[in-house]
Amino acid sequence: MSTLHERDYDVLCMGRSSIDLYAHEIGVPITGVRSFDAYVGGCATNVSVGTRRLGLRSALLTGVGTDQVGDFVLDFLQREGVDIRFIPRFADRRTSAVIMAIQPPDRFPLTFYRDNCADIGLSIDDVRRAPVAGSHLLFLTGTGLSLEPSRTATMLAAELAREARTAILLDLDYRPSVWPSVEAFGVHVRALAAVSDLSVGTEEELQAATGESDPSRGVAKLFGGRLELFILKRGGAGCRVYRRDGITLDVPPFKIEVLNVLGAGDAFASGFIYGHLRGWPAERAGRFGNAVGAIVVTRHGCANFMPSLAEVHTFMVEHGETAAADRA
Amino acid sequence: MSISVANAPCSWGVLEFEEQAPTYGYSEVLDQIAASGYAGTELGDWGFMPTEPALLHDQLHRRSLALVGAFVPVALSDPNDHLRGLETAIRTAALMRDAGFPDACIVLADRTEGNTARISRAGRVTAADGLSPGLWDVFARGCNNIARTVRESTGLRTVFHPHCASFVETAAEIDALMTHTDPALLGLCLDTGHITYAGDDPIAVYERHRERVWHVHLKDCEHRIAVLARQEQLDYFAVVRRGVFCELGHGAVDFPHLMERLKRDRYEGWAVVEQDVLPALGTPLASATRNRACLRGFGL
Repeated sequence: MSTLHERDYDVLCMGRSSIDLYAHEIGVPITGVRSFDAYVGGCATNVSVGTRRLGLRSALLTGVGTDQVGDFVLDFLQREGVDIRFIPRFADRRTSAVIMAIQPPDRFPLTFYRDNCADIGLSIDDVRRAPVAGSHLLFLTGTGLSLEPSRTATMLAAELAREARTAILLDLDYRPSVWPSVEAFGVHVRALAAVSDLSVGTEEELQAATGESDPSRGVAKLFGGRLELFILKRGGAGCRVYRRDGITLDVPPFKIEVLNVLGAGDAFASGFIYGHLRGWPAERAGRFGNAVGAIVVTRHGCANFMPSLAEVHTFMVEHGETAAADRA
Repeated sequence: MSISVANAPCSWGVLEFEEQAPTYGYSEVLDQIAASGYAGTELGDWGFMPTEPALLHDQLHRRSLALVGAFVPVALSDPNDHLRGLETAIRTAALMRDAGFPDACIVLADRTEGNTARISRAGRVTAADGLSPGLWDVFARGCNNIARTVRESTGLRTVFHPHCASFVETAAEIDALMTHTDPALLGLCLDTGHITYAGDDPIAVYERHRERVWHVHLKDCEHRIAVLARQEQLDYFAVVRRGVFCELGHGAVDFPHLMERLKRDRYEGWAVVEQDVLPALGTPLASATRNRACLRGFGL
């Protein structure tokens, strides 16, 4: 965008990064897979790329190892134009990895390699070097709270954001394999939600975060702090926006054929952030996010397949939307 | 499609408020307005364009441009400024009529200059910043009187332009003004950017007053700058200098939906682009061309 912004970045994303190895063969269980495609992934990483492709200025705060996989991740991000200067490299930790089989429409089994992984090594010092006050929005994830030192670093980032009046978006990002118990996840993520402005998650994640099986009761628990909006990602049903004042808005989905749902939630978040920073009402931002998510669902991977603003615009127009992305 | 798109001299740095000498003469500005694809222009400050009707007509006619309106700021809460304002409005209306543009309108606004309270409060206005009931009467009487006299003496219509840093900025203040004034005399100039920076939704304002929307100003509002400006409690002119009124399609205004509503209601007036000149935007011609292309994308 061509105007003066006063802050150097629109979005600072903090959290996971990984090499994603996706089965090349579609519809085949893992035992039948013969080759994998190598992409870049991880919730925060996907959002840094997704927002960048929409034209926002994004920076990523994650950790990678001094290994070749770290080179792979950083090289991709650099080519995308995501600012990687704040990313530490650890000699004693490995860049994390994910392996996945693709069995549409509803089976996408994942295996995480996150023991002693680099992105959980983020420390207080790493956060102090990152442009929290120099960004309009800070994107944080529940996974960042799963282990030290990243847990403390994530809470510090939130505190610095509050001081600088940088908006905080918390993606619940619940990955059961990285937590000792679902209760432990809930305790930590609720504390972070209380100091965040916006939060997104799926119905399963909301239940894990709050212990409530009914989404509206769960959301009410998250609204105990300063949270203004919770956006429930509902996959093929679109999204639902819960406002602090009790108003709920259902935002309809786009009809598409599912190839791979992984990364769609992060694509949605990227689109929602774009609209939010443009000052759009939540409903319009949600509809735009639905379009970004829908496009990624028709594609093979995560970060590598995020659409440009022009692609989202074209997609929305093709699906009968007169009020698309404007200025695409 | 009966919505026509115009631009205005202020997009070339001829701001109503600034005392700097204009960098561009009227001839160059008109050339560039026509070259960037607009069908009309506003008048700009008195004296920027020729004040001799035949010459003004000739300059516009040779470029196939229509004259669509003229911005006339008056300190409407001060009865001592009403007569001066009325004379300016009539002189301006007569020039436009005599130059061959009887459909042009007087775009009346409350003067921001000297309104120190509202300049400092722009974008963060509460009910406590508003006019007292007595001053609302003065204000509305001034509007009605100017609109009536302009109509009777020249036949031209008058629209009121809500403006940040004036006493009619927010949706509530627009509602109040519309209630206090004569719907047969005074229309509304819907300015999308000013209403958005005021913190309100221009489409909601349009829906409430669409019978009175006779003129539209298209401005966008850069949300990130607006948020920071409110946090830092910047005054109106500092906010404008920071670029809060960004190029169309970059900000918060939902132009596609506004266009839908205007088409639905068969709006027949002008849509006028007013783009602040900002260091990051390059030349006014390039900026005007981009704004015109953006509006074409919305079917205008």
